[in-house]
Amino acid sequence: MNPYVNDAPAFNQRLLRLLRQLTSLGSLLILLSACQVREQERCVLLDADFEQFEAWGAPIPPFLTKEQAHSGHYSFRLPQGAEYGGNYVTTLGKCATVPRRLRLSGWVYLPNGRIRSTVLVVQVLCHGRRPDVWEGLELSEKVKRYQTWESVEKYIRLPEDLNASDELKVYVWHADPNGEIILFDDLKVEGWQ
Amino acid sequence: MYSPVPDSVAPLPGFIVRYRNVWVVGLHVLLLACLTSALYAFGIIRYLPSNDTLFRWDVIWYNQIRESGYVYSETQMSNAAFFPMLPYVWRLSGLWLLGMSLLNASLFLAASAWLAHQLRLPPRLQLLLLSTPSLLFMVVPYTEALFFVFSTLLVLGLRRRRLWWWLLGLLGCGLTRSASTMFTPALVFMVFMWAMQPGQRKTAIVWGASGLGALLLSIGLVATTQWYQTGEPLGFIRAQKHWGHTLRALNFPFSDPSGIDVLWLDAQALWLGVAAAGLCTWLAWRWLLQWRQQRAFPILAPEVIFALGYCVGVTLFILSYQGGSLWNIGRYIFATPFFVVLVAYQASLPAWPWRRYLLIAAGTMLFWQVFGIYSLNFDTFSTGQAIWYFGLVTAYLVAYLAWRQLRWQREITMLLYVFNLVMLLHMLEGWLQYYVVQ
Repeated sequence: MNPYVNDAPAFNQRLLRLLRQLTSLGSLLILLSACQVREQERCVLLDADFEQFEAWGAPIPPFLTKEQAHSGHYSFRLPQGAEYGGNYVTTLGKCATVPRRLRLSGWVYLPNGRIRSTVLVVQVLCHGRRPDVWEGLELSEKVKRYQTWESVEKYIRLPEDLNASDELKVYVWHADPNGEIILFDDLKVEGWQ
Repeated sequence: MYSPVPDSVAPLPGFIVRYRNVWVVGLHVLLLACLTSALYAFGIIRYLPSNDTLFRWDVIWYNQIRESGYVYSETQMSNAAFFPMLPYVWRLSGLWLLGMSLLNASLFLAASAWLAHQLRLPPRLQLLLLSTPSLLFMVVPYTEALFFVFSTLLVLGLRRRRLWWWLLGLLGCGLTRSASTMFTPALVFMVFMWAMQPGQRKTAIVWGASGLGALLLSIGLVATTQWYQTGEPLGFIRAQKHWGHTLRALNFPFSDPSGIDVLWLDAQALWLGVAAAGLCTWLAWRWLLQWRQQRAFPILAPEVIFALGYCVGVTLFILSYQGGSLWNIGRYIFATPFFVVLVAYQASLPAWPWRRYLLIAAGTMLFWQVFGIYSLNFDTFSTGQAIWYFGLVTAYLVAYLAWRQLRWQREITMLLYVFNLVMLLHMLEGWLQYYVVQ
């Protein structure tokens, strides 16, 4: 018998006490998260499944591809060697009230782990009124399954002093453009208070 | 001096008992070979070290020094940032990539057997430590193996009071990588603590002064080599800025460019560094009390104090120069004998009450907020998922802390051993494919 182990009855009592405490803590956490999850009014600042272009009969933009798609036929393609991709710009005034929080979500398709640093960037341009907001979701840190569509998301808190004329910009920054081709689909940015 | 509690084993022949740490290394190599061959045959891992897969990351720089010596550039990355021991041993050996990797692995295994023998590690604990996932860097042409060899020499020099081992170890480490940055504060701290122990003042001062001399000599040799070859004696310092190693403020939440499959190791290395900082602060406080009020001072072996100081040094370096990006901290701490010394010391302590482990676990779970797990800053993970991820990391950490008093020690050791080896092979496979694994 291991001489270090405490006597069993006392240990069991302590274990039971711990379990009770953990249960209380768990209930509290569930309660808190339930409060948090309560849906507030969200506005959609970006919702792109990259399917709209085909129906207009115009030439398909070169950044779209039919190689792979998470939904529909098209996805956004960041070609090999490109340092930046996409450049979606809208104003925060698209929401009824200027959002204080954003949720960036989407699906990405990585061929392998040699993508190097690839960041899905959300920027709020304030045109010199105040410093711009810059937030990035580093894909290479979070996505560890390759040749399959993987969901990613990022929550962003915005400063209080933004206004409706400030611009939201979403783009991909491939800091080391020697990496591989990367595909994106169903990108979405939602904002709320 | 400390001596971990040995496993209870049935009587074995004398030569096996005497060299049991060598046999354990042999058993580990056999088990690793079995697991690797099985996973490779089943296609679970697809890449093994070979001349085609080992030419990755820093190996390219080391090979450049091996082939044509140092080059320094004021405006871009250059090989002057690297230290000369590995490339020149590689050049002298006449080996190519796979050969150098095997030489590194052999050096590491020999040093680790010697260390385990000297520390009288229980076989089960030795096996567990041999499976540490960060040891993947022992089988590639990186500096980890040589650093392990020389660090073992200095640790055992301290333990056995062999001054020449200590000095040779410091000199070798200083020529292998930028060790003096981490070693100098650790050495000074150790000397202060050591000198406070009864009758040790003179010994501590002699060892401290000669140790600093050895570190200075290593810096002088590196500077002379680079000055002779490039005309810039301080290239190994000045080139660092091109690797982004500049003093900067911390960015929260902390992140890890190596990604979530290495982050759990780097997070634990950070935890160890912070815990070591706490212990060193407590020791410093006790030192002050002893100095002013003649209160009793806790006696710790110098090698344990040095190991603590090293972990603090690495942590401060990473936090100060990488601004909240934690990559490399795991291999700098876990792929060294200092980690072995600290685990062996922890394993030698009397049992702790389980309440203490609960407090540590709870504190650790709060500590993980440095990665933003409760404030939705751990991207792509919900709060629940992040808590689960770091909860498992905490359980892993507590298993190591409480290892000496685990009720199912044998079973948990084997579980951790196999898990560690699978992670080691997974990370090695990523590294061999040029994924970011640092």
